[in-house]
Amino acid sequence: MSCSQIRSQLPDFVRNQLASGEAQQVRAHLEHCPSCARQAEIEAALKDELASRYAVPAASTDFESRVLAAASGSGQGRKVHLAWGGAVAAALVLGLMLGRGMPEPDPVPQLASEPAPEEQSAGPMPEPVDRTVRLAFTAGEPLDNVTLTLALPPHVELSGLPGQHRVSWQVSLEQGDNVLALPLKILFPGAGELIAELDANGRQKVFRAVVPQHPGNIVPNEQEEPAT
Amino acid sequence: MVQPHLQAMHSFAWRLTGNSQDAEDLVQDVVVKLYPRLDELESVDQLRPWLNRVLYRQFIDGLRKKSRQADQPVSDLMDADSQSDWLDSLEADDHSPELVLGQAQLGPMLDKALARLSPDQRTLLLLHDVDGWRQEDVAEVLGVPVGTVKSRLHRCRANLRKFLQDCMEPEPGSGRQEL
Repeated sequence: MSCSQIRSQLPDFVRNQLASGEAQQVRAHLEHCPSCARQAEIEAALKDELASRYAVPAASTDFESRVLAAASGSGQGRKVHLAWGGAVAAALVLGLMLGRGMPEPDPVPQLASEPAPEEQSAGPMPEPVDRTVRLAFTAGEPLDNVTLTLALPPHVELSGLPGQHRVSWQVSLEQGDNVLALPLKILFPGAGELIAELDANGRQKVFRAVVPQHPGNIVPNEQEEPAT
Repeated sequence: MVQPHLQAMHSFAWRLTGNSQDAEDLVQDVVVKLYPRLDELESVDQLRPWLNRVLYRQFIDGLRKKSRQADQPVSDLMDADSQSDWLDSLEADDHSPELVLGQAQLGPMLDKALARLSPDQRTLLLLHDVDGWRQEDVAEVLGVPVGTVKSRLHRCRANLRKFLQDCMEPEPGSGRQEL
């Protein structure tokens, strides 16, 4: 075979994907052709670099159980879309420092809410309202496999997870600010706290924050302020 | 029955979507869709390629819905004939260029070169050359002949090597720089 033909087979040769006869032909050619042998070395390096740089990351730890639960209709596998963002406004900060030394966080964590596109007014029979709540976490260093557990009061659910008031995820935090958007459904007027627990390799932090008010909580003529 | 294949499905879905959340959602959508058809699954001989084919079709359907909204073309990986004929017609002039490079800067150059491949070419290349899919597996999932996969893969590799070569600065006097 010509050098051109040999080189077209090198990607499969370095991956042991040639039939034994073809592989033997290539091997024999490489023994007496330094130029093609050099190309084979480069192909091997390319193979290794591709494998190391472009391997598919593992699925999240609860992936299989969540998928199977969704399929069987148990409800525990329902999807909740949690959007992580890189930037964070200072007003939205649920202060949290994870990292070396685990410095103490802000003593009064804050939540901020965004009104749903279609604001629902309070009526005689309160209807559930949607609120997006953003939690901002500041990590001192990149952290993988952080368990985030949210505990919700009885009048609050995560959209897509009806009836569940304690939900956990495995998350990864980038160094710096990380923003988690939580789609909340405020079912009816009520009081209570949202409790966020973070467990990073045994280092735990617990934070409490006030849940945005249901419109039914608002006294007429009192202007609603951004939930804090 | 499906559980032993979930990680492989996730891997394929990640290759298609490029991120973990969409990949996991895609797998979940497929499994939820198949759950009422468990009897049908029991009669499938080779379940993994069958599942991956369903997953791929689900992915393409999702792309088509989005493309109708955005007036954009969908992936051409599965729309074989016209495109592959065109690709195959170029095959005769297609030779893998000789590469002269060192490993020290291979990674960053590889990133640049892969970024110049089309998403479909990149997916095909990574499925085969990184994830270890056989050409027959790719052909079955995409629903195209093995020869089509082979010629496309050859072209993807040739393009990647050409782009890698392009990434290298020519050395004065030699026209080529060894890194």
